[in-house]
Amino acid sequence: MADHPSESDIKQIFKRLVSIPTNKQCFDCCQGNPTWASVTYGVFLCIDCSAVHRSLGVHVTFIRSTQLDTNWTWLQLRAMQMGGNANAKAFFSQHGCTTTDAQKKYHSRAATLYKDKLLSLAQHALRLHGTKLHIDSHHETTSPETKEVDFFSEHTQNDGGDFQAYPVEDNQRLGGTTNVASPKAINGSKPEDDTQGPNVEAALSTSPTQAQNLAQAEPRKAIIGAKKTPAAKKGRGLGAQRVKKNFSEIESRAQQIDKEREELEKNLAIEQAKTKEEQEKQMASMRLAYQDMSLQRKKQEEKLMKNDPKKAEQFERLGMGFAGNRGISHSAVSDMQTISQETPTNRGSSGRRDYDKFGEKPRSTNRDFFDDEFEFISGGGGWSSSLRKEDSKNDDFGSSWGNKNKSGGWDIDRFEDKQTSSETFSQKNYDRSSRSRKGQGDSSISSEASDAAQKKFGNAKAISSDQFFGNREPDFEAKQSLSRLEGQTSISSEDFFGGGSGGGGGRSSRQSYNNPTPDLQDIKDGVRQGVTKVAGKISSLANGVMSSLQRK
Amino acid sequence: MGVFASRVFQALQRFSSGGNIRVLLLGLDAAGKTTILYKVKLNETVYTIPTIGFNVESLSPVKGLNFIVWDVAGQDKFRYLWRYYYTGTQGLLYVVDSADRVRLEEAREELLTIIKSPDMERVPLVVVANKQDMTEALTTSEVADGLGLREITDRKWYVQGACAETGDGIYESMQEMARLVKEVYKK
Repeated sequence: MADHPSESDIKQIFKRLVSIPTNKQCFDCCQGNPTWASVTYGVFLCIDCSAVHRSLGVHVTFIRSTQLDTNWTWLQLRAMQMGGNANAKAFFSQHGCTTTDAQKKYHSRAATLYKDKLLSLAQHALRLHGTKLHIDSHHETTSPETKEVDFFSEHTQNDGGDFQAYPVEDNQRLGGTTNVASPKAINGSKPEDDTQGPNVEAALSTSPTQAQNLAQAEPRKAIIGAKKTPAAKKGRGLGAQRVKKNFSEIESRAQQIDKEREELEKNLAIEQAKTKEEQEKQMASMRLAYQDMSLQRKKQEEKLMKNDPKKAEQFERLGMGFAGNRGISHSAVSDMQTISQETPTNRGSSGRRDYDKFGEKPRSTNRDFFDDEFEFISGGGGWSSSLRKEDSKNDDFGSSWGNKNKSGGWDIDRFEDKQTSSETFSQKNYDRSSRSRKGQGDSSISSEASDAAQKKFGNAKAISSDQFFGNREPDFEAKQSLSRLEGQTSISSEDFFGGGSGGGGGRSSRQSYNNPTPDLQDIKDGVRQGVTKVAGKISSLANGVMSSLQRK
Repeated sequence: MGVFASRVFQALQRFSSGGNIRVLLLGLDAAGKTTILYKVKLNETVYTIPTIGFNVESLSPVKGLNFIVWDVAGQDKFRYLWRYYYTGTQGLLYVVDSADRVRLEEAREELLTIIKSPDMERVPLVVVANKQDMTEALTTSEVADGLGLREITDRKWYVQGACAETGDGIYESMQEMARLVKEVYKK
């Protein structure tokens, strides 16, 4: 199925749709010959009302021009064919929405109901008719009354709609069993007869009698009676009666099938929507991964606080920020053990510590750890990976320590180690948080992971190519450029591209350009404007002379 | 003689047109182009009807620079006419309806066709992610991604989140346009 109908298709369809009298007036203001349309509601509008609709936003009503837009989709065309001004008007008035205020009108319940209904109708029509130009329902729209009834029965109550869908016999059988609904059922089936033959009177006459019968005793009998009365009356007529009945049967069966199909579609649509939602959720969760982590962390910490207040206290004292850490210092937290103040005297004994450090075996791992630590601190640059390394090291370290004996000195040592590590961690955390603050949502600093602007710029109000591409440059420069942009809600392309073309130089030149040159520029511009004025005057003078010459 | 006079006039104009920057204001229909144009021009939110044809206004958002902004209608049929406005354009303001998630792809395609044109080579691009006040609006970065700005490396670009009704971000994008234009055409 071609997704886009050709221009001539669109033209033909609208030619036919606009020929319907009800579509010759603007849906909102009744101005003649509307050339704009709200696809969402399948109504025709004049240009002024289309402006109102446009200001409401595309999620409320989507406006297209019947003449100036050539990229209608089939679904949109089907919506226009299934809709139409008459249907929409009937639906709105039925739901008591008579206001002319566009804001209220298109935010009302009736509007949302109609929107959904029209969408499903259009989808259904699209499925049924494919890319056939004109569809049957088109004829229905020419006679708004029948359509009105259709809408009513479908929308006022479920039973109404259901009953209509059933074949006539079914209808009556149901009428026998469920007393209350029966008159309605007959009413529901009436319009069909209305349009098809002289059956009206019969139907009209039956419904009260049937109701009476029902009110009396034997419902079964009543059914037979009800069935027979029209038959008897019709008996005088022609055999055509039978054919008609068959038709209605077939019709109703077809309707049933249609309905089933519609339901299937609905289910499908719901499923699709669900999967979409899930996808979106996943996306969102990906985006919020950091936040999630920090949330989890927080929870853990809270738990920790409850279980082991001492530990938590220490934790706090060590400067491992509760909120700021983003899943980096978790190993430190989990490995941390409460430190008692039993051996305060040992703290100063560095000799013993030294001894420990070099003499005992675990110390060697400890030294490694410290070395790494120092490297790590001095390295500075690509720290996210080294941090990860650090993390694993730290884990090892912690576990090995956990198995060892528990002398006071050990405890202290551990405490000291922890302290240094926690210091670096907190430093990192600080770095990180400060940077993200500067970057205005530049939350992902590990450069290879930041492919998409979404991840990079979170909620930044403006992004420029420079910022975008420049982000691949070393952290230091990125930081600089980002700090320069602090407070601005915008990011410009140079900051992105800067990395490629020797970032620092370009940036500084730009800054110098920004600061001192405007004065010069102003002067230049002033001169230019003066020249323009003079030029304009001269040209007008010349024009005047020329015209006077020509006149002569 | 009249021809001669007009030629003189043109020459004079060219000589003195240093301060005039020709800016094209494009985007899909109902993106908010006309609203932005008159927000900057009159500093008030005008009630616009769909533009048929084009609007042209001279603005000076930055001292010493005069923008001649061409706001061309965005309906499908008018998009074929956009190319006739390309020649001599020094800045492209591309307006996107951030709330229109469905048509972002369409917006991307149109933007690509515009910047692929040889007439628009090197022309700096400022994207206005309009209607940020809507609850379902995409963020600026999402718009940047949706428009595929990452692939645009042959020119300076800039995305600015904005709300034309309140004027948020509009002046910023104009200023940025001025800056980019100055930078590109100074060389």
